[in-house]
Amino acid sequence: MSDEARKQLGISRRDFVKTVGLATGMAASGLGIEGILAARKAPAYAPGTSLHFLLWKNFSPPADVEILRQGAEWGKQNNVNVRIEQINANDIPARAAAAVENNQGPDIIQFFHNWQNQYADALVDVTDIASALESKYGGYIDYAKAHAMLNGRFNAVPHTIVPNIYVVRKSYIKAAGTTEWPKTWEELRREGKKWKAAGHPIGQTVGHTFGDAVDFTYPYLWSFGAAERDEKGRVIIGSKQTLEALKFFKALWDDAMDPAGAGWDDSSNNRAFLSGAIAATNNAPSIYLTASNQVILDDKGDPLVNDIAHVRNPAGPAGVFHYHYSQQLAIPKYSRKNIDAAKDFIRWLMDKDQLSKYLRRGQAYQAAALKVYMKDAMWDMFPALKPYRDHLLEGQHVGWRGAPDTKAARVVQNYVLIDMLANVATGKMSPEESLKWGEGQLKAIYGE
Amino acid sequence: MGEVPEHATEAVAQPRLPMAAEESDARRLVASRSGWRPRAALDLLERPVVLGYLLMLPAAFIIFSFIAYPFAWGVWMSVTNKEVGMPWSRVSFVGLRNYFYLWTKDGVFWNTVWNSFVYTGIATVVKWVLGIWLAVLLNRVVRFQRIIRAAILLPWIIPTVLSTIAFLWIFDPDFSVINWTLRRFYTWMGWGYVKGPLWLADPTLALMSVTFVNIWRGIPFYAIAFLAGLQTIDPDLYEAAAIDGARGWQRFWHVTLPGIKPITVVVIVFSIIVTFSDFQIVYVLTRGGPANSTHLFATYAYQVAMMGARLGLGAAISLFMFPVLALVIIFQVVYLRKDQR
Repeated sequence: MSDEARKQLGISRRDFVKTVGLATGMAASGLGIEGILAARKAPAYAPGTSLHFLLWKNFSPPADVEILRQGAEWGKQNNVNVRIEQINANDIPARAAAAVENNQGPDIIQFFHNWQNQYADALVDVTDIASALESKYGGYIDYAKAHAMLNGRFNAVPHTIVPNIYVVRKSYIKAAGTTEWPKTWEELRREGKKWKAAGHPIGQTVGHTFGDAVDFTYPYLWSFGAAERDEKGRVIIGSKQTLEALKFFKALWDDAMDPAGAGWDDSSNNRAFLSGAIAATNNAPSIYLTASNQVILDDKGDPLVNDIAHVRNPAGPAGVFHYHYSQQLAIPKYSRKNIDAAKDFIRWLMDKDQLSKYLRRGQAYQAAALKVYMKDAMWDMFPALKPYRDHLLEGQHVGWRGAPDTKAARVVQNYVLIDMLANVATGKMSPEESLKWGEGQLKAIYGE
Repeated sequence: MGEVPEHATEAVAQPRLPMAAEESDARRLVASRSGWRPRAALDLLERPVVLGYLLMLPAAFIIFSFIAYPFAWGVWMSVTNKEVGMPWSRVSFVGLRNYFYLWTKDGVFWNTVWNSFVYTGIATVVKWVLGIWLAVLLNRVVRFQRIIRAAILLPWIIPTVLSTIAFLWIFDPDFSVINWTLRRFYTWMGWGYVKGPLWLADPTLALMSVTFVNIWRGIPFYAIAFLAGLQTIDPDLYEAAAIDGARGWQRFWHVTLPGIKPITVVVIVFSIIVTFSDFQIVYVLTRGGPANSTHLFATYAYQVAMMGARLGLGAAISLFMFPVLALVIIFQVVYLRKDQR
């Protein structure tokens, strides 16, 4: 290589010799030199390093394309073989549990809600990365930070948030005589009754599934003043507020909701909405994005996206609440020799260049856990999804008003609050029986 | 003619059959002198006791590794407070606390017990009845016999998860082929709109739906096993019964059923064990919902241990199945021994 060429690349003779030497070694060990030259630095990891990243199959497929691209790019730069494995989100906890118990498995695992608090002992303290990002970018959204921390340390790096508000089919509710989105649950019941009578009820899952069931149940109960625990950690679910919420839910379910919801998973309401079976559902932006990307048409032949509105949750006696589930990246301790590489990869993924591209390529399906991204130009690219941003700060963490600790994660994973609603919705229990059942379950889990 | 060695001359002169022990000792002596051990090993293999144990070793290894060891480990886990990721230094023996917790505090456990018995009971009886019926029919079919028998085995051959995913669509309230047909029929009759049954959203119907899938999947196993049993019945018995004036139903009751009794016991016992510990159908269709109305022991143990990270408690749930299954196995062993006598 000529001196001029080296100067153009911005590397010194010494660096050039070092890089070529290492590159030759890497090439001899079966790894390419292309990445090393592209990175213009010596590789930081042992030859043959392989990094395994486990995450969900995204509801916004372009985001998957981008994360795969990013993994390949970082791998190429660092001569690391990055293997990205994507599975159904419902199966991540079991995979994580098996990996942790076997002391081998993915080097980075994406967790939802505060799932990873169940394995806190087995996870690497990533406070260094999380705190540095916080200092650099100006802080996380509160509940995302709360979900990633336990006992004052970060056991995962807050990455993204999947926001959830109501998705509404404007023409359906208008045809039934509703001119404005209901401000309260009571109004929703009254108006929803008309929608259901017209063949388009509200669709909502209270089944055993990771996302939508939690996204609806938790803020619904909070909006009635109900909570699992108080600030001191005492179980307070057996309150008259919870009973009121359960009684009202039975009425709401019977009057305005699709009874099929009791058996739905996270994708069912998307299909029901897109096929015209329901008028409204609490959901992430995936319905809008599918309608837009697949150019789905309504009965009149017009683009369905023009008939979709995104609105906030109705208010209960205690106000308006939302729940947007967070996603964070954790490194299991069994990774040992890969921990440094995993940390570097997460740091790199969290860089503005990467995170911004990931969110934009995902078409604003996910928001960032860092507050600064609320001002990102991405929201101007997808103006129909701006309501998701506008209500992003209204969320709380699981277990609220108590802490989102290990046992709060256990409540989520055993669907206790969701089953309290499902018990009354399906007629399996009366509101009073369901309240007693739920209180018993929570007290058993929290050890009271 | 050359010289004959002395010892050979002796052997010819005084022929006698050596005793087995002497011969063995002699061989061992020769082997040790010459250092030729493999011959001694081969001799050892000639002993039935040694060879028998050696042939059993691979099976014993598999049984120990994949059944006995995990079982013992599960028993140990169920009496500890083990959680996922908990360091062993913090794991402690808690006696029967997990079992008492399930018995007295857990609000899903008794629901699970009930579901498991209903699921297994209904599925076993229906599979038995339909299995015999199908076997009798298959036994009569002469044309395309092989093709039909192969086709009937399909539900049992297809991986359970795949066929259950198909049922997920069949049971979908909005896109179900059954509900779609029903809606079309209602419209055609002018009866207005009907949503159709909520296959997986109604607690009772959901349990029946998962049971139905188990029946659909299990019938071929019963039918083929019973068919094999039917073909061992001597046709003379039917002829004799017919001569005695026995009608179709009587021939079935007095000849067919007793004829397949031994295989019936084996099939039902195996079926109960597999059905009682079923996992895949429920996991794919409902994950135990709605409102825990379809949880079986295996799915609830999975939820508690793998989703909720409480391995000790999950192991205790799994082991609650053990007494029931052990009773079934004991019944089978006692029955088969009695039958052999």
